[in-house]
Amino acid sequence: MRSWHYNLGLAGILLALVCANPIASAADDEKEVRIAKLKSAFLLNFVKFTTWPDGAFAEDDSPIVITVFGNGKIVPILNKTTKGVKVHGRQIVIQHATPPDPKQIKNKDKLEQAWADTYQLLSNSHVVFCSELPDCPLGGVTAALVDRPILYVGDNVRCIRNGALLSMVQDSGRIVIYANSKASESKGVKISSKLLKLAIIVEEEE
Amino acid sequence: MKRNRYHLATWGLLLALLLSHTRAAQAGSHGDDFNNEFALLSLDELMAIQVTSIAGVAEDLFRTPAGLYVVTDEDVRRTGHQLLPEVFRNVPGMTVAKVDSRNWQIGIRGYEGLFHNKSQVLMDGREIYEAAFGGVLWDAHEFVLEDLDRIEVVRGPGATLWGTNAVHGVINITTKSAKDTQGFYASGLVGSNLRGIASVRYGDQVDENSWFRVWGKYIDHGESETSAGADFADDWDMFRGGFRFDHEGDDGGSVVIDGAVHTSGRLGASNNTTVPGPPPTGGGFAPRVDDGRTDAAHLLGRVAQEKATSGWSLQASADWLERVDFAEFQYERVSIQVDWKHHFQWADGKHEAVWGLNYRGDYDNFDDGNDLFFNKASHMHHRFSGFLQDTWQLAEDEWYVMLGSKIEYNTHTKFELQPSVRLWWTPDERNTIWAAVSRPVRTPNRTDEDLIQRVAQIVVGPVTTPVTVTGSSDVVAETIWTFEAGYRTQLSEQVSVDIAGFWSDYNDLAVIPTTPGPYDNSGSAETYGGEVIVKWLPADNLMIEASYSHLHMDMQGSTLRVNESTPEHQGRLRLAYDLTEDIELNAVTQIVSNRPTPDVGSYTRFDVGVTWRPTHDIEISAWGQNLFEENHLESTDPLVSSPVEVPRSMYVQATWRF
Repeated sequence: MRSWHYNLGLAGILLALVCANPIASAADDEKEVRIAKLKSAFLLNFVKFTTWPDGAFAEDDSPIVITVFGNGKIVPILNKTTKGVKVHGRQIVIQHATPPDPKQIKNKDKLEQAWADTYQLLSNSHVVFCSELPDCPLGGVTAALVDRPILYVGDNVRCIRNGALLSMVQDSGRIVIYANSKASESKGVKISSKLLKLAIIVEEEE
Repeated sequence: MKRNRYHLATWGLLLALLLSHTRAAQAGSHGDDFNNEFALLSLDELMAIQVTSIAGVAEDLFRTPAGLYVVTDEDVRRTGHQLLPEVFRNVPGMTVAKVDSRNWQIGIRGYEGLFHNKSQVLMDGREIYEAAFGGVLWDAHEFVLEDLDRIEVVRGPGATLWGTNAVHGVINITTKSAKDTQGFYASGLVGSNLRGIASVRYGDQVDENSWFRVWGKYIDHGESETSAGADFADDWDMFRGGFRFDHEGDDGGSVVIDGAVHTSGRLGASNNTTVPGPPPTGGGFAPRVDDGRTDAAHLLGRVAQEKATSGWSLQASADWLERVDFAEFQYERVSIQVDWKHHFQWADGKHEAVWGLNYRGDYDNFDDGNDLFFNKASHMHHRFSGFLQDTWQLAEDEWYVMLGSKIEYNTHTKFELQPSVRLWWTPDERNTIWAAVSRPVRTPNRTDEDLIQRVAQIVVGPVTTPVTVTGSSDVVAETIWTFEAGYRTQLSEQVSVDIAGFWSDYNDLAVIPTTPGPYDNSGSAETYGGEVIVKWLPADNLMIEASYSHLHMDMQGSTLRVNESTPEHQGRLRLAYDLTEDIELNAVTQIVSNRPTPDVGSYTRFDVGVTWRPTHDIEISAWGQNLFEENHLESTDPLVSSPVEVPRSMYVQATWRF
């Protein structure tokens, strides 16, 4: 009986300690940073498991350019994650672009021009990561840059249906890789079978 | 010495080969204090980055305040293991010894035995240890290993969350959602000791949010050889089949229905049976060969709802098994389990609480074997439990404390309280330091209470008197105080280290007393030890993992019945190397020190395999296992008639996914 009282007393003290806590929260920020780090690590791995055709790089030491297209919150963390890292003997450079917003650019010609500028920026990329764009406007991008050897990556399943080759989708608390059924080779961009083996394959919408 | 030099030379050669072929590691000092702890991980590790064993809610491995090791399906594939118990050979701190072709001694931090009763083992949240004796019938839980999601092994007590039996650790096996196993999978294996495995699985989509898979697996295992070179007649085969259905709602809700059956009419068993003899000690043991048989089925259903800061799950399962084994010993049982869990954040996310309620009811029926009997032929055992656990962020992103307790009511010992406290500090993203105090219990089971085991028969004139050891209803729960501490650090972008140590004090161990009489609680013990795991990624295409486990056991009082024959030292070196895009080389070596009582010598195991992927859909692999030695002994158990050797073996396997 003595050990019972002892245990109960111990549990009581511990529970009382728990209930007396006043500290405020930063849990959401922490969670966002964690997800950004995780996605950055996935992007780095995607680059490792992808090869580009010779013509994709101007020089032997030209960097691999990753463009974050959409929400740029991940950019600082992706920058730090890839800083000093060489993949296939090349540095990695991060740039950021946002899709032109028709609510802000009412003029149709100006909107078209803004898209043309965006396509120009994206055309220099080796990876385009469509970040937190629920509609994932990759359909237009892939059509405009039809000949460019670009690895398109999204963060939802819709992206795959709109032309992304890979997507990292949050599912049941983890990140799952989705791959386009045509992902194994597209415009000379070759994704390793090892990566595709880990992915859920999705048919692209016609 | 000669053998050691040979081993050293083999490894040296292998390492030299690797170093001459490895692609240079990513350079990469990030300069400032920033560290992305995930950057070091491989894709399959990144995909597995949710760990639920201790907190019951998402927690990544690096920050988990416990000795935790995660085995993914890729780890299983790249270590060449084909049967579920073998997979644990790869887990630091676990001891795995093959007793015969289908019986295993598996333990975490000691006290392993044929029926190790101090670890909690769950498969998709369903407890799979047998309530009657506390151990797991490992051959009854095989599945297509390709469908494994992950195995989390917690070294040390996990009783607060997982309850009775989680004294030494928790093995939490999770299979993949049907959503992640779509399409055809077929695999065939032909080998020397494991004669063959055929696995088939098909998965498809029912509607936009629902998926299913059906699967079948046939295992044919060859017989073992005794140390004297005789055939052991323990060959067996088994067919297993099952299905799983998953539904995921748009609102975070999910439904899982999972079921499986198995049958075997050739469950080889070679065991000891007593023979009558004159006083004072009676007769000895004679080997006896039986072909056992088994049939089993289970059905599990789970509904769950996950939101950003809270979630709940309700799971129910029914499990039936019938088996004839060990000298016509017949065992039948039905287990019903219902489990409710709810987690939520409170105090602005500074607290994460988990609470739950659980019921397990087990009905069993035993028909007497030659030397094994039970006082009561059938028995119904109930267990009700509830737990509450809270994780409190004491200092933002740095100090955490986890407090909780389980309260349990069971038919054998009535109420049991199992509290634990864990404290951890993450001064930065490269370091986690943790410490814990727990008081788990192991409640007596049917064997402790009811067993009558004949160990000899004395003949005087026309009268034959059996000499038996018996269980007792006076046996109370074994209580254990365990103190643990650990440190995880990422030394560089390529190297991480995980160190854990523990000290445990056992009281009221249920043993056979030194004076004649039934089981009592006169045993006590003290154990201490630890594990060190170092993971090194010297190049993009090479992973090296080394681990060392130490365990010291000091028994007081009677040691009968408690198996203290655990190796004090275990070392392991694993290597996963991509020779080219399509060819992998994998190797594992394991050095296990001797076991004192009963005496089993030390041994070195070396497994090496090559996998070739000629196309995206096809994979061919060849493995050599236990290559350093023609055969070695891993364990002895009194129920098994003769010590059985684990032989050198080979197999080839072809896999087709489409």
